[in-house]
Amino acid sequence: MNNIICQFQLIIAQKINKLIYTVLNFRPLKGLISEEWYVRSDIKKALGILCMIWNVLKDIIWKAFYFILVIIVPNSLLAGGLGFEDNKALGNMFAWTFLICSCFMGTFTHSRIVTDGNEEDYLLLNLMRIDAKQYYLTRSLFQSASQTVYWAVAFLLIVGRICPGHTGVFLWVLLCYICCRPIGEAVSLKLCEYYDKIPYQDKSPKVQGGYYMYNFAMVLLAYLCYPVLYLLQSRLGDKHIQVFHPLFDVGRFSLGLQAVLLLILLVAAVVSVRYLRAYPKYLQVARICCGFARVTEKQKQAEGAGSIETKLENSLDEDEVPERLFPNKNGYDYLHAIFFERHKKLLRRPSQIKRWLAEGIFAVAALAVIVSRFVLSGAQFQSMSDSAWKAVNLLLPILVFVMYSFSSGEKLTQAMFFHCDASLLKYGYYRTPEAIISSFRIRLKYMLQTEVAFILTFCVGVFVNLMLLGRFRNMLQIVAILGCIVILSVFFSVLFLCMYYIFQPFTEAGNTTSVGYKACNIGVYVAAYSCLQLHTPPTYFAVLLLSVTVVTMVVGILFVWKLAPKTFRLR
Amino acid sequence: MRLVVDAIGKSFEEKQVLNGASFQFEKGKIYGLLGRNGAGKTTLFNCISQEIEYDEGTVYMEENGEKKDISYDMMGYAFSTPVLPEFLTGYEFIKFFLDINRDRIKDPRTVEEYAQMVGMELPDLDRLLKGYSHGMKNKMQMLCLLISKPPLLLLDEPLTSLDVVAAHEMKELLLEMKKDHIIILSTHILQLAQDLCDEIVLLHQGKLAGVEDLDCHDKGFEEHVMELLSQ
Repeated sequence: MNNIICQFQLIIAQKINKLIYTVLNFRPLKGLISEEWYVRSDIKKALGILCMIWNVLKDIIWKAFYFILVIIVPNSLLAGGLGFEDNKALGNMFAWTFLICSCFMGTFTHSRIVTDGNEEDYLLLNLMRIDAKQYYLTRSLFQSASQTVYWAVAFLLIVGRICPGHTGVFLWVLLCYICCRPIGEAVSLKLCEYYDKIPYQDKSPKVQGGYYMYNFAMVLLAYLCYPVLYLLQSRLGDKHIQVFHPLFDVGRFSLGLQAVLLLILLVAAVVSVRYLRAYPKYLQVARICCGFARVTEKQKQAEGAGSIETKLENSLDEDEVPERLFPNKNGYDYLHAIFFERHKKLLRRPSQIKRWLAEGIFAVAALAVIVSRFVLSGAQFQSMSDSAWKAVNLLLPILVFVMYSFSSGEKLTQAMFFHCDASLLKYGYYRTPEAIISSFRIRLKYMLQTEVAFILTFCVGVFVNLMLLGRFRNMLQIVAILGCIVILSVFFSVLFLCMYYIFQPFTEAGNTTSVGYKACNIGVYVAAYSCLQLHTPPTYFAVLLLSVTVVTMVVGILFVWKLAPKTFRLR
Repeated sequence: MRLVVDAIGKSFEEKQVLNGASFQFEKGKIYGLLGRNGAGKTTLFNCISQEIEYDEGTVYMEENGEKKDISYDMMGYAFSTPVLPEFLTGYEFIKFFLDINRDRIKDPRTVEEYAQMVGMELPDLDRLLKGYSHGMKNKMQMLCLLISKPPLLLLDEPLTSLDVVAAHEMKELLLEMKKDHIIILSTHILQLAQDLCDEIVLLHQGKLAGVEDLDCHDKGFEEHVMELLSQ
């Protein structure tokens, strides 16, 4: 009991301190509370009680949501799709799915002992030196008990309303759940022993593959059992559209089967509990699962889960001995040439993918045009050509949005920051106005160069297809369309680079903090999206686009010249 | 030439880290900046190097009675945790640094010669900085200061991550450099300060104070410093 109280106190204290810290550092609430709150035991006790109540409520709500979203909704959809709306069968379907998903899948693949870098485990086992066996056993027992209570409350709230008359079945499922928990823990430890490493978290294809296969099989069993039974029984000529699952729907036989299954699980649970109590290597498990290195690695992963840095792959191998590159280049030209060369996979890939995509689409389109020239009559081909031309005219505004979506400008600037500027901006020489402008100029040139292949592919693709369609008389409009493609490709690259230099929005922690940058980003998106609503002839559209983009680019570059020396800093 | 720190004040939120810190650092000496954890040593360095803006006071260089603002050319700052562009090799980084400082270097040498000055093995020059140890990164950082030779050197715990031989080489190097520079190094290690520094400056309760009366090599020095920092 002491063990549980100690765990509780530590976890709650940690949560309250985090809460106080968050409020202290949340700007709109600045000054509302002071650092004194950290030492006010009365406030912390009150917050602790609120925290506990919230935790219980949160768990119950979460379980209710889980039951609705994972059990009720998919099964109702399945039943509706198949055409049987027998409420009794539906209730049993819910019980079956819960039994498989939560008892036979969840308990075996989500161990509370064999965790992966759990911070609480690390604090209590490695820092506080709590006895590992006692800790793991009491924690598992407490969590199983509390989870059972939460499930029971969730069932009372939902099952009683949606499928009355199924309380007994769900009580049986809950008993199965109680038995399955120690079995799951014992199996996890056994697997841990067998593989000499953490099962399910191991990266080896064998273990990982087994984990996925087991989960996949369980999901299939959970959701497809009733539909399969339904189809089988309807084939056998049962016209009443009623499903008989041996575990629930066959009267006394089902009751007997349930009793046998529960008995088997009970025996297995007793054996598992004995195994868990006798297991001698909890300390080793603690060292594997929640050692300092593993916990910090998990924390980094969690902190960076949504950050940009984790989205950027690291293309450098630290053991590689690279050759000396660009001996004839100097200074910033030399630096950026090496940067682009060493990160070419990362930086050129988006442009390459765009090019391949465009090549594929235009090749297929060209082939279709050539085939239709032979298959269709002259009049039919002309009609198709006119329709295609009309579509091209309509598609032009869409091109703005397509080009915006395809633009790799943002990804390129992120890569520049995390792989180059984040380190060099710490040094004064890299922050001088000359250095900033020089780097901007070199990068602008590079970004335009990377777009050349895509622009060429796109222009050639559009041109060839329109020529194949025989649109020679529309040459002026075609030139306007090609102009739009070139302008747009360049525009978004330049725009993102300018925005990066004006706002420098990224932090070393991998977040985007600048409000101005975010606002501009939204503005660009809205402007690109609004173009979808425009319906103008291509020539006018090209003129409009040219004016807007040239003005924006000139203004952007001027802003960079003026502002970047002051704003291009680490945040 | 001297560096004048005049009544510098800097607060973070409600916490006043520097509170009218004043001191004058002379050329030709190595100053050991001592202070307890969180005393504000790095904050002081950041204020001197203009990395952060301070709330009050002034920092300037004075030469022949003429006051000069501290520009990038005048100052070199070695961080306690060196951060280098990891996509470059040691050779490329030194070459890049030499290129951009070409006009400021009086007696330029080859990349290899510079590397040997800090005891770097030549094969290491062709490895990516990403694979360098903390100590090797620190050497690269110090090398940048050796190349550009700015009059003011701020070294934030420069020797802590170096091995015994490298630390010894670095000490020798700093002793060689001191006659033309103002060198301020922050450290937690009193013995290092005693070995290397000509003067000890304490940063305590937001203020700077030179340790006077006692020679820093004296026996009673350690007790004296402890007493001052515990007040």
